[in-house]
Amino acid sequence: MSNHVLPMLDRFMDGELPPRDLAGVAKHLADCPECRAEHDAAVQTRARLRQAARSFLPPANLRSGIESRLDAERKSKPRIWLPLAIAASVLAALGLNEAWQTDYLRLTPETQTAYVETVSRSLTPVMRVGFADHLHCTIFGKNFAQRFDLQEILKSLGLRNAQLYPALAKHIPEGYQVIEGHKCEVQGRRYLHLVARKGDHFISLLFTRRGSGEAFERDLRSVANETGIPLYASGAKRFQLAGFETSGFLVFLVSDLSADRNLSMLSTMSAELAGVADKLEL
Amino acid sequence: MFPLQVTNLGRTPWTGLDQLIRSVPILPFQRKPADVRTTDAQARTRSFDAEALPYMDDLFRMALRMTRDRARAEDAVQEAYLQAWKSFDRFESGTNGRAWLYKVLFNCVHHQRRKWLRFPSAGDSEEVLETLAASPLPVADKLSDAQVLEALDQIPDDYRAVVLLVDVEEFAYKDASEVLGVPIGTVMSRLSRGRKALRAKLEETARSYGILKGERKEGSS
Ligand SMILES: [Zn+2]
Ligand SMILES: [Zn+2]
Repeated sequence: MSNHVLPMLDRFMDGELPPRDLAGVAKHLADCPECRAEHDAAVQTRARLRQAARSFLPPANLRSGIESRLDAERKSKPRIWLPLAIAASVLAALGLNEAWQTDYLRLTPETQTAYVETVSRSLTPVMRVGFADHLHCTIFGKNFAQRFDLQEILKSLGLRNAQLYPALAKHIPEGYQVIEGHKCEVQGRRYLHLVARKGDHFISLLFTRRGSGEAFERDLRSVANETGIPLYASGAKRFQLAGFETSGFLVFLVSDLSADRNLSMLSTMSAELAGVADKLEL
Repeated sequence: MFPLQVTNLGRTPWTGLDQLIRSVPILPFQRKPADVRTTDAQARTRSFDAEALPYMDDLFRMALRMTRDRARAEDAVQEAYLQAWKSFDRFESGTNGRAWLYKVLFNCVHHQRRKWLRFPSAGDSEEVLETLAASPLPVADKLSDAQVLEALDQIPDDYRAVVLLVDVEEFAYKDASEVLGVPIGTVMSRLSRGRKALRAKLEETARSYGILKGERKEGSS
């Protein structure tokens, strides 16, 4: 019998086959003993497995165990719900697995630092400079205004740095919005920091003063040079970093976009950013 | 490491930037409409309990088959509820609360496995899948529940998870893909191979208990 339908049997028996294929498979099953035997054996096995897996005795104290853990959590931390909403988005931003490892809701400064160290391990020292602020300020810091307010963003960014806002706003992928701009400090280092957000995804644009001898090219080869500005890129976990240097600044773009997208976004902005770098105030 | 310190350095004196502001297109900031449940702690608790607790036994059943250990399964389910509660905002916004709970559960099981290195796992070896008989004999009806589960427990974790989600928990492929965080195509291929592996293991189990005797079917090895 030609045109056996074995590859479609799983979808057929699970009701996942598109309607247009249904009749054909059914007809073939009626005509072909081989395929029918396979189908019947599979259906029989599924039913038997379902029955066996459901024949368990739930622990008598399952419910009370769950409830007592929920109670303890609910009592120990009377929550204000807005921070919880932010915490939930941090959980999502990290990805459940990673957030889990850091026990995200009880992140002490020490565990945050340990986490940053772990995920930064693959990065060069200069890349870590940008990554540290993205993690501490954007992901852990929740340093965002509660409400989007462009006046406030430009105010906290500083008048002389205000042009960074349109430079970023023009180039963020669809669905993102610049939600924050400020100066911040992590581990004694100051940054100009803009954050764009789309749901649980964040993009950081960061400027920080170059320390003496600090240069991407010391440990990395540039991956792009289309605008005459050598660009450098690295990845750490699900984060992508791209950066370049001007005479006075290290510039970073950190996101969880794809490596290509993150790099090409910085590439598009690089000339404009390099052009204003001299006038920035930090 | 340096002591961690994140400081917002405050606002600089402001003079109008009206022109710049007007020159930049601004999308309205997307935010969730205020939800009564998120502002009233008691109602929120009630809502979570009503939506999530009914799945307790289902989750335990899944955890038990993934961990093969009642105490660990119970622990994983408790953890899953705790984590689900902590991120209830996401649970509410999800379209399929049951799938979301299973997703959290799988993360708990995964985490537990990392924590206890001695956790026995069938997940590392796919050998089982490489020695599949072409068409194992249908023997499930001749085996006891315990024997069926014994065969199931030998399937590698990734495949066992998909088979359980689809066959026992009756998730659609789309939801199983959501729970496991893998593409639908992966769900389908794991399901197909997992089911075949299960049938091969069932046949093997039947032989080991002397339930099935005689020659193997042609094509088996
Ligand atoms: Zn056929
Ligand atoms: Zn910042």
